[in-house]
Amino acid sequence: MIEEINKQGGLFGDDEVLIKAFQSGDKKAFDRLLLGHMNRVFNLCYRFMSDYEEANDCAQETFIKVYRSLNGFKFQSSFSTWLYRIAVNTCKNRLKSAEYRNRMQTFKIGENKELNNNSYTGEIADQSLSPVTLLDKKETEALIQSAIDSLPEEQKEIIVLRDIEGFSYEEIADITDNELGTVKSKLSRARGTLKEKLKGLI
Amino acid sequence: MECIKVKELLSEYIDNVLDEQLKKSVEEHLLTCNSCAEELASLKTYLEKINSLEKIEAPVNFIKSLNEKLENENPKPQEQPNFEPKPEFKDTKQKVFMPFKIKLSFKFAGALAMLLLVVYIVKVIQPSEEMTTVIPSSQEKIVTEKLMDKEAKQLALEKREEDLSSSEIIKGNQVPLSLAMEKEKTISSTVSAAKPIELVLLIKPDMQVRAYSSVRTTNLQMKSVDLIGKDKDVLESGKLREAENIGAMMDEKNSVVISSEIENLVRSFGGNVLSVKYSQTETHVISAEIPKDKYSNLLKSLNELSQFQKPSPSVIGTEGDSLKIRVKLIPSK
Repeated sequence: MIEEINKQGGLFGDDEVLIKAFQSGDKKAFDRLLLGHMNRVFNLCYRFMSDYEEANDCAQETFIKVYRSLNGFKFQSSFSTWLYRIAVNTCKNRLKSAEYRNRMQTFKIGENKELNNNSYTGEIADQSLSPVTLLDKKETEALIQSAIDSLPEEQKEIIVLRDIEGFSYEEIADITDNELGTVKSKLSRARGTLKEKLKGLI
Repeated sequence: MECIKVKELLSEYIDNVLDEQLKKSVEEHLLTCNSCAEELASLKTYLEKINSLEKIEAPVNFIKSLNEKLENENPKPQEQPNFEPKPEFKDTKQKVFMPFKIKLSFKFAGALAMLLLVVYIVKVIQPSEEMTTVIPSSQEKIVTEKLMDKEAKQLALEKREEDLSSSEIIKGNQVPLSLAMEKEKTISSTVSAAKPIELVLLIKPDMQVRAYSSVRTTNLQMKSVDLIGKDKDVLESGKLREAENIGAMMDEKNSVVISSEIENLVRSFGGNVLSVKYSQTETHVISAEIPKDKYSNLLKSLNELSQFQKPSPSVIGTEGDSLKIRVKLIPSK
């Protein structure tokens, strides 16, 4: 049902070849590696953080960590799994940080929810949604994003990885360091919770 | 299969990850249960909605911004990947042992230390060994020729004995050469048995010394100009040995005068000057023999004459009634 994404390599070549080139001293290989994964990582960060700037910071931090550690990458796991584990952990750490909490608190005290070009923030204040027909696409997306954002971190993580990014159960188990059975049960519960939050849309 | 169990499995069913048996069981249940079928339909709708979410792309300047951050932080990817701890010990070692950041390998430092040690041995220890041998000079050869003319029998004597006799001639003492050589021969055997006491006197360049013999000094000065080793022997008794004078950097006049003074002192204490050696290289060496009970008096007198190199001599140890001493005159720094 969900289209499997090619995890063997990004759009600009095989990951393993690019990583080995980087490890051999070809620093430009990192840029090609980056191009292959940049948007997917960014989208994951955005769905996790529900804020464009926050997503940008987290994605940049993720690739800085990858750049610093790539020479020590031993191919014991797939690069993709390793990269998204770093991205998820970066986002989770950011959500826990005092700086992020202060920023979000300040934002919520201020003006009402603001819908910028790529920045959908705010929460679903009322679960009783308006009829779907009255909402345009952006508003629908904002509501879905708000619903995802309101999930517990554990459920949000698994929804983003599976239903938004399309990772397999096995990959999610690797990324989140969970057992396969745990992933299945968590995903089932998370979907149930999110579906309940979006029942006005569905 | 109960509805609760089926609803739990619907998530896996819709992702097509159930095994065939469970999948068949779920499908059979869905055919008969409207509630579970509706649940499946809403789950499909949910997935359609969530899959319709726009893929948010990174800003255009994402890579440029990232590269700027990487450059600003000046990362060293070649050193970071293994997460090795920063070599604090290396830094500390660098600060303690190489404060000026001079990169000197331990191998090179070891070689340098060895070189310094060799230089030390050659320059400091070697001269004292050289003083035990007499450097032949052109004048000595001349004297040897004279000896050959006088007594053919003396030709069989050792070269060292010839040196001594020649230096005696230079000094001007009127002792028969044949006698001198015979005496020297006997002394050589006795002296070698007992090690002489080394006394080292410092000579300051501006040291005021008493004029002992202006005639002798003048003579010696003239000789010291072109010679490598000139001998002055006092062949008065059978205990005479040899003399050396090696003085280059010091005041030649002072050293010669002091050596004459020392010779006088030795004789005044009833001893015998065995030899006086000097050359232009470095150090005067006066070998002498004095009665044992006069040794301390001689030290006092020498101390008045000049300054001993520290530590000052104090221990006496030798055989027989007399002591053999060797006084080195070296320029003070």
